[in-house]
Amino acid sequence: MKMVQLLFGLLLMQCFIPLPIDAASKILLVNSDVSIAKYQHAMLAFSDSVKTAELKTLDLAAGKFEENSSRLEELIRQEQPELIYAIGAQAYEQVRKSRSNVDIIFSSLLNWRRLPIKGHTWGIAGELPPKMEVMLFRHLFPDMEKIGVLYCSKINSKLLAEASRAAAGVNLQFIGQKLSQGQNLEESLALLLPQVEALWLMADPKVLSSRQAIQTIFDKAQALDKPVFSYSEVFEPFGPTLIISTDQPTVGRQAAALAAMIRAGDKPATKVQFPAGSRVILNPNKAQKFGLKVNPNAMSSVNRIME
Amino acid sequence: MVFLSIFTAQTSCAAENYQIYYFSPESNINNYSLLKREFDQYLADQGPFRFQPFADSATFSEIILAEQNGLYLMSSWQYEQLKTEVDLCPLMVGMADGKVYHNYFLIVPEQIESINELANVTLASSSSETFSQTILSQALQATPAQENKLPTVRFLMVPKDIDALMAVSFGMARGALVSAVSYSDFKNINPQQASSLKILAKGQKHLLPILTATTLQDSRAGSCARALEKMQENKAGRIRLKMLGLDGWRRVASTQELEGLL
Repeated sequence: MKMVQLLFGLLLMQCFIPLPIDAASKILLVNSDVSIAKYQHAMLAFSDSVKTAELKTLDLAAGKFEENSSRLEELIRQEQPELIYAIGAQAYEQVRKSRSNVDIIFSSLLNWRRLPIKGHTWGIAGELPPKMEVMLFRHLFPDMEKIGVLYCSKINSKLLAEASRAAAGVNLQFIGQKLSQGQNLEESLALLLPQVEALWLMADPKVLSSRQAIQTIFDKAQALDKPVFSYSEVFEPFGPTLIISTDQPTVGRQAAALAAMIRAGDKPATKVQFPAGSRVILNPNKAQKFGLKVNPNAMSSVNRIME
Repeated sequence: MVFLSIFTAQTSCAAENYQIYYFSPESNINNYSLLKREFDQYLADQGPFRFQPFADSATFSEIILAEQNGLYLMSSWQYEQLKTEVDLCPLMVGMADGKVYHNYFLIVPEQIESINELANVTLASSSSETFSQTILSQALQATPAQENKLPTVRFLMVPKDIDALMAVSFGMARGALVSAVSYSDFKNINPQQASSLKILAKGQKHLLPILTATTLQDSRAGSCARALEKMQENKAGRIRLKMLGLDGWRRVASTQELEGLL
């Protein structure tokens, strides 16, 4: 009986080994700049996940950009890869311009919608969807009710509307304050902050127009005991209470999974996926100082603690 | 009894730190530096104890097979694999919500009716690929007889269970392997989103992490084990235990008692 169970188990295991990219697959990985941590993390995770494929890597930042551009075209001609993985906007732009008909996967670039996407291109967006961030806010802070957002209506009205719809599902409310021409940043913050329990920073070049503007936002929030939630570790020096960003190793693994699907002839239904992994960085001392109750069950979801 | 006597043994002072080695294939979150910092900070007040998490199974196994002096905190899955190679003495098993075990669910969109619809799909999991394969196999063996033609799947490793569930909700994966506790939390966070998902298969019960020693441990093992046990009695300790997904410990006196807990 035990032998039968063992054999059955082995049969099941065979069925759940992930489809590898076949040994003959040649993949060209074009990295905008290997020295940038997030690009490196995605690249390493991708490389780990496609062990059976022949993988060539090009770092566009090594040497002159123009030289690398022609190097890339030459490399594609010589190597005849079956698939190209482009990490970062520069890499994607160069690969796109190479006029190659090779299947392309891109990742780690912000606002992919501004870029042309050809028929044989798939990708992973650079930003987490608002609904994921909203879920994580609720997971971490079970008693929170109102979060403020300062935004430019031309840039982020849709995003705020999407976030608000998601927030309704978890009993959260976003209070938006438009940064209008007649009002300066400090006036807008003075109107918004008293109404909310925290301030959520969106990627908004009109709001986050300068280092001084960012400092003003954090200073005003601090003065009124309001925690700031941000979307990138870039803001860590300013003192946010929470950072939720894309987990880059997961992006690399997602790209590898996409590559496996494409090479197996299964064209993904969705052209551009959202990132599947999040990275949570929390300052629990600040959360406590600002009166935010942190869900103890959510602590196993925190990647790093800020002092 | 040999194992309980470890808790009552007197500590001899030794200059070097006594390590608690930790690895979990059930977690991919890569928060090792956080765990080490928080546990070291806590344990520094309890004695010359340090917490050493590992990022990979192979290195952790090497430490155990070499019977390096220290305590080992490991998943029950790994305990089952290693106990045949090393003489391991279980001391305590973790507890969460009053239980010493947990199990995993295969969660899919509501419209999926059978495992056969998952051919060539991506399943999201916060566990290692090997562990994910094991629990999925166990879950499928637990369901009513399957057809001979079982589907192949791809695993996408994500940092945490809530990421895996969101990946299914938002279309980045066609299924998720998550703990029952995480699925329950997800339903509490967003009942509306959770209503579009369902449990397709349930895995077997697994014991929560097991604290073990080898027969070569020194007298500091007892005070170290006690220090860990006492974490459940104070707020600072409970916060750290939560980072491991636990809220307490249960002592075990023997391997037989451990096996009898399921």
